Amino acid sequence: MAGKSSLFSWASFAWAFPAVGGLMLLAPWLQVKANRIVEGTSRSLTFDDPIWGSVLLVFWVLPLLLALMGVPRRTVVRVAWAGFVILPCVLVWAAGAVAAPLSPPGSFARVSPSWSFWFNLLGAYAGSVVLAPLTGFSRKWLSAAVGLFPLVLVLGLVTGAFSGLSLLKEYEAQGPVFWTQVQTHLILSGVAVATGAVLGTSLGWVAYRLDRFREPVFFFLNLIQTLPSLALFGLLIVPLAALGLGGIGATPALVALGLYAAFPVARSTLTALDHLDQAVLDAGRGLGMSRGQLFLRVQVPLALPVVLEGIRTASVQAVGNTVVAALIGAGGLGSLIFLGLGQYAPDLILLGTLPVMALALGLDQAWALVVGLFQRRVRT
Amino acid sequence: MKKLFALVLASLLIVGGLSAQAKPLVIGSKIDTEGALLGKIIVKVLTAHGVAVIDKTAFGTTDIVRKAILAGEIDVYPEYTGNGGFLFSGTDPLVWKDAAKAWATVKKLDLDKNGLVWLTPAPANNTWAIAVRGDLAAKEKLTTLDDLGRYIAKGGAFKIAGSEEFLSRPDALPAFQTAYGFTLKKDQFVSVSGGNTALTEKAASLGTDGVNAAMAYGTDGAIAALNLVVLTDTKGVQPVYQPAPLVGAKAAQAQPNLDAYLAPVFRTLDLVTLQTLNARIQVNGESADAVATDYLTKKGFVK
Repeated sequence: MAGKSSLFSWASFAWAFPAVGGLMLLAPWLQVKANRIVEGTSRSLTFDDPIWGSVLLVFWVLPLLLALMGVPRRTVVRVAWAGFVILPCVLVWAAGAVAAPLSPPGSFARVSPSWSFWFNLLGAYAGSVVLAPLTGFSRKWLSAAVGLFPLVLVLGLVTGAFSGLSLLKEYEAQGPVFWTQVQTHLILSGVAVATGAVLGTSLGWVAYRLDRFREPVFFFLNLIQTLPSLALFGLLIVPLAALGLGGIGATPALVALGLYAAFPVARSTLTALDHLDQAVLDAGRGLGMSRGQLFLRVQVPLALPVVLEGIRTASVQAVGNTVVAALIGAGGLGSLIFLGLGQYAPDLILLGTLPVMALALGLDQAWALVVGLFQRRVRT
Repeated sequence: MKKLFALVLASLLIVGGLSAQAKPLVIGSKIDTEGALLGKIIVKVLTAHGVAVIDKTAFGTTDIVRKAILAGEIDVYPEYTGNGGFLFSGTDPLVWKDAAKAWATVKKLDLDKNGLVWLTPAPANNTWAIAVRGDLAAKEKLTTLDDLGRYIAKGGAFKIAGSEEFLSRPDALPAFQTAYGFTLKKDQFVSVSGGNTALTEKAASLGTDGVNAAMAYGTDGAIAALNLVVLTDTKGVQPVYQPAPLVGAKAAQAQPNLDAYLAPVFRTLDLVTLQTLNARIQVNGESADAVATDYLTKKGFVK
């Protein structure tokens, strides 16, 4: 059991709780500014918001008290773990509640999380991850608990409980533009991945069938990968304009993003085809399959999970790469990020960045499910 | 099947015919605060006059919007008259330091060479400037660059944050130094990548790394909120950068009334007005769209 190792020894763990928690109570947890750019004042959980401070302190101190009272170790670990799972939810809710009167609708005041807020969040996350295997709870329980925080976030966003926080202020100011940009971002990266998938699988197939194309194909794709995206956009302006396709806007963005996306797909396609079991192919031939039948009934289904893994990588990459497309007039969440950079408004930058991260993580998970489905189908 | 084909063809022709009749103008602008604001103002004023527009504001960097209007991918965007000095080499540098001459020159050159039409500019100068901390300005009585020159020459503490371009381009900081008789040592400037004045002004305001002055643009919104003071360029060292709508060749032919629609609005956008409107976006965090609507409604340009 991990708890027996000296580093994570039970006693040091227990004492770390109030030490870390106490430190967090002293550091500023919220930053309040009269507007976006002036210097702000800090709020501490001890002096300014003692009620929320004491509530949060309970999560850090209770396990220690229980341990000192001689409660069985397993119970203490479970209580501590549950505390770490609930703490982030209480923390964001508290921040929203404190921020609401400080920055009511129409006010330009900005209330944003500060040191202690992030420490609490990070500490709780680390604590819950470390303690989870020691609780002895089933995996189902543990993964359900992971969903609690996002649930509270969504609840707070829907009910407007967080509307006093600076990030939501930026969201309000952007209004419908935010969702248009999310949509544009999704369409851009979606079309780019689709293009990359078609191009990548074809190139991968060509490289597999015709040995002499193997090197040039990957030389070309590697070269594209090494070009910074903005440079690639710039290089595309002239040839695309000459073709009458438009050197600015969505077209060059899609061409560049599609080329980027092709690389991981082509790579995984070739790997998948190269590593097909020769015995299976021989068996197929032995059954009298034609080349086309062999391709459709044996090679494609066997290679598919690996190819899909390549598309998964390409999608996550594309969501990130699409940010830069804003600089050539294609729009997307990057335009919020670049406006935020120009105005020195970290919250506006975050408003553009967080959805990109969420999209990337969400897509990664969604593709993991899809890949899993195909793997299972092949096995049975 | 034939019928279907004919139907599709007919509908395509109808759609094509309609779009040829009232092709909407694509409005672009630079991806910065003032670009977003002026872009939205153009969009709203033209819409109020019944001109169909497509809003592509906050579209890209100067380089990109310029390429886009030359390629006919956008029809209108706000550009600064003083940039004519860089777009057209070999012109007399003195021309760009006079507001009226700068506009007339860039208008003529861009029309002759590219068929682009410059409309009436706003009477605001968004030029490069030096801003110093309010407390320094008050203590040393600095209001003009002459004052600053004297202050630095007698050995006063001074450290400026600016972009690499501002610090090294002969017509920027070096020109100020020559005109106002001061020389900065290497440890008296901090170079910040890119032309982002939000960053340099913030550094001066916070006194980061001992910085007490910043590269600034005349119409920046944050100057007052950050308690900085822009020093007057009494000798007119810098080119005049007045924002004006720039119209592509085809659009100018299709819509001859654009100047009649936009000039009355742009004439009201003087230095203080633009600073105030930019500040609402940058300092208060209001959207460019909301600020433009509010201004135009209050002034009675849009109902």
